[in-house]
Amino acid sequence: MEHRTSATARGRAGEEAAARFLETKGYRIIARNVRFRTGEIDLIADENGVLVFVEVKTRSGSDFGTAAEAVTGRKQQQLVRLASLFLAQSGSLARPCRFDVVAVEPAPTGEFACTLFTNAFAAR
Amino acid sequence: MRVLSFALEGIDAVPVVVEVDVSHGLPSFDIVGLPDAAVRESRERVRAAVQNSGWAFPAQRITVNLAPAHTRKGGAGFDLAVALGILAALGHLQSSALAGVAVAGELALDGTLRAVRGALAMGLATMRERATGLILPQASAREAALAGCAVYPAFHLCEAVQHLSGAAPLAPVIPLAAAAESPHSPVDLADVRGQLVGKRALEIAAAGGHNLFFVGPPGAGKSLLARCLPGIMPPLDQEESLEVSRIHSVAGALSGGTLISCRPYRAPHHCASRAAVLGGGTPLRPGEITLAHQGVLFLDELPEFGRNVLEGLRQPLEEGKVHISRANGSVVFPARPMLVAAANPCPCGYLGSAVRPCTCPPSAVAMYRGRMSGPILDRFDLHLHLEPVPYDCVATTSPPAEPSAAVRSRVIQARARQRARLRETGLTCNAQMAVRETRRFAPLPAAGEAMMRQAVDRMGLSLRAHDRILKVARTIADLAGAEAIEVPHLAEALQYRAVDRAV
Repeated sequence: MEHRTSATARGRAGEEAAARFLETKGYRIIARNVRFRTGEIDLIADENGVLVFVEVKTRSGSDFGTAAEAVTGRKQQQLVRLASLFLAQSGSLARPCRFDVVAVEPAPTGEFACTLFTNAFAAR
Repeated sequence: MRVLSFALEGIDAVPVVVEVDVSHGLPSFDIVGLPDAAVRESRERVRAAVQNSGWAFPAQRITVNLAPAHTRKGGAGFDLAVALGILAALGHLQSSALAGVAVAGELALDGTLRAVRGALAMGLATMRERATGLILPQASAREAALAGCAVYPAFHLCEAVQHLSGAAPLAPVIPLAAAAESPHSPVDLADVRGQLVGKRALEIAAAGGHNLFFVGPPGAGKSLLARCLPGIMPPLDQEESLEVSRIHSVAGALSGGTLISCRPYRAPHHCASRAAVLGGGTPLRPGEITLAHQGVLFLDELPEFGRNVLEGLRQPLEEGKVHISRANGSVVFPARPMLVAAANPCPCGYLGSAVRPCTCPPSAVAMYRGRMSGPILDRFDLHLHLEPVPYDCVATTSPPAEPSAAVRSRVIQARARQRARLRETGLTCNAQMAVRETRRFAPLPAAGEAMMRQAVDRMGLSLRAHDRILKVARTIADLAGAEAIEVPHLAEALQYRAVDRAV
């Protein structure tokens, strides 16, 4: 449990860093940690009228591959399903939207370094 | 957004309308309309090619439909149509620019265009569909231009877009004139020493379109004679040349962008599979028998071919076409080659030879012969025993043999006689005559009847063999310039029935 808690805490800290990073990029954060029965969407933002579903992936190091690599096809499909749920509930199925990924990795300064992948994947 | 493209079906290209819809919603890229794996993978090629050509790939919902939806679509040839459809849907291209134009091509990830199979068939289909032009990869364009439509060769996706938008129109390719008739086969009859009987049989076979079967010991020159056959056959006429070129275009084997002017010669190895010889595979490709259409199909070591291959040849040889039926439809490929086959008389090769004794036990000979079924041997009008060439003919002092060109001119004359006689039936050579035409066009003289009766009784000939002898006799008469079959013609024809006599 100890380990799990620290991983969750690191994840939350990463999401916080990612949200601040996206705001500097002109994204307006609409919602955080939107939970559904099958999972959660880390961040939902609005960028110039486009609804953006953001997956934040935090890694403490690259021993197990980079953060961006960790968003596998399966995770992508889960996000697609969650996004359709969200759109259905908010009644805006035909809104322009996309999926972004923010990779958060510790920088040498002790801060977080964020990398943004716009339109990282699509539904299939 | 609609773009006209083509799918290959047999040796024809059929129109496929590529419809592209780009709408809001979760970003996705779907292709519907029974695409196979290669078409579905086109999504990744199109995405990369569009991005690498300088456009942003939209984070929108993209649906591509290949109509008509009920036929299976294969291959990478739809890439260009899909990419242009998407660019038009995004407004990078006027939709009116795409009206009436057909396109086909496979995209590389950097946006350059790769060649497609069957470009000539697509050119013909462009004419049929009355499209104003056809945009093709540079590598395929020349081939399609032979069909006579306007073909615009694009090297890159950007070139195709700029051509359609009018920013930088491409010049239509000028079709190459058919290459001057090249020396037909690499072997000339003048190079073949001796074997006068073999050469005579070859001439008769070429003149009447008869299938030919050589039996002989190793080294008798069976393969060499077969190789000479295309060189003594009449040249392909315009229509035949276009048909042969179309077949080879679909098989992806038409090179140089000119029509094929030489009769094809195909000699598949005896380990060839049924699908390789008759056509098949996914996607469907023509087999050797179709690639040899209007030319020569040579089966060396006939008994070594798989039984299913040989039996599969029977029906196409009768009909002149191959039907390949699959769960999702059937395809017909033309298949009217002259069949030439060769075999040894027994496994060791020397049975009946005057030179060397045969070492095979009778059971081995029986088994070897048994692999060639009666029905398949029945497909050969001319059967011939070849003996090894004696040294007198090999010696450099022996007089030079007749060149192919001389034989060919006689063959051409004999064919002209046949065509004139058979005009109203739509047939072109004696070998194509059915029972009724044989009765009508190859009557025997009274003296011939007696000889034929004797031969039928003594050799135990079937009715089919009887008809084949008549057809060969008719061809021999044509070569001699005779109006009717005479006794010597029949006598010669009877000699070419080696299998019917015990060897």
